[in-house]
Amino acid sequence: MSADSRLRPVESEDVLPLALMLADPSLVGRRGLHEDRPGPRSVASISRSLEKLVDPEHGAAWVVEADGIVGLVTSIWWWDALIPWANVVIDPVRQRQGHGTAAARAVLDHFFENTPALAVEYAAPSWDADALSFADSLGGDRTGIRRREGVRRGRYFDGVHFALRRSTWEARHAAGR
Amino acid sequence: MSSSVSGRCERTICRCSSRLRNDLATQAWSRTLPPDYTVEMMRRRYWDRDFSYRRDDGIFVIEVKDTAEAAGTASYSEVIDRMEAAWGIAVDQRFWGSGVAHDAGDALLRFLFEELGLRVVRLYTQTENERAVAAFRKLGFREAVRVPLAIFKGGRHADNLSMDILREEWYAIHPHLEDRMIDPFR
Repeated sequence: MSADSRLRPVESEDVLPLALMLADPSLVGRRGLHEDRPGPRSVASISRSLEKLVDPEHGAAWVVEADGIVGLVTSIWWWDALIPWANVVIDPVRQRQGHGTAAARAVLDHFFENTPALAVEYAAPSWDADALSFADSLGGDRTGIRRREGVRRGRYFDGVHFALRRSTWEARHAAGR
Repeated sequence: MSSSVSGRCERTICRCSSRLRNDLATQAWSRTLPPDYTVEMMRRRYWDRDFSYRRDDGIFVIEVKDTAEAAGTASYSEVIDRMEAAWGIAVDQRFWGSGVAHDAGDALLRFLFEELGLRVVRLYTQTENERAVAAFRKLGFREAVRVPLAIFKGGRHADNLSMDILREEWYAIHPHLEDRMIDPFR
């Protein structure tokens, strides 16, 4: 993590501030919540989803904290702990300050250092050039496209999927990133 | 051999589901192990569901038309209304190669496209299951996302694979059916 941000587990008192952050319309399709719907949701609705993250089943969640809550990292390994799924979402008003990169690298390090994961999967919507660029920058391979993951501005969009393999992560670490 | 997809009595679907779950060749991997599923466990899973208009899943017995034997199950889940669902099928090894999986899988796809009006149907599998992957391709599914050697089953690694089929792709291989659903996004 960068010097001014860190990951910590989600506590009950984090639910409301996180829900307020995730209710931002610009985060539709990127909230990273299990079985999320690709549309606007109320703070109350998002809160109910977030409450499950306090004690997640087959997954984990962390608050990205700097001078307050700046983001959320969610992960799930429902089918197989060898391929956990991870999502990083940063408060729109705190983006482009390095928090997303720091949080993503921290969660990737966590999975490869502390779990048997062989690859970590993540994705970005096809319309979001910034998110795609960010996903590419993490060093994973593009593993495919899920068609019609949602609708935005009157058009279908796809989900572009990535996986960072353990061997790639190890090589990057050996090279000092 | 032709088949149909139907709701069947509690005892039949639960026995069939537990048999499929306890066969390492027909169930999935990792999270669904060990193969110690009882009929009672399946009964609680499927029969204790409450009535609801917010259904986002369904499970059916695949029944052989001539003999009324239960050959497997076909199911869907994770429905996003009028958009997508995850599709799954499991067929008893006795019926592999009989055409039952294709008939039943296609019948369920027809339900999902013609009744639920979905735009895309997805499935999740792994590449060691070559017979199933070939069957999915024959039904019209296309490879979507593949993560090489990322899972472990049967003593070796395989690729994690997801596949999908768009509604117009399904109609294209069923030219006797016409898609009359308005799609505002194409």
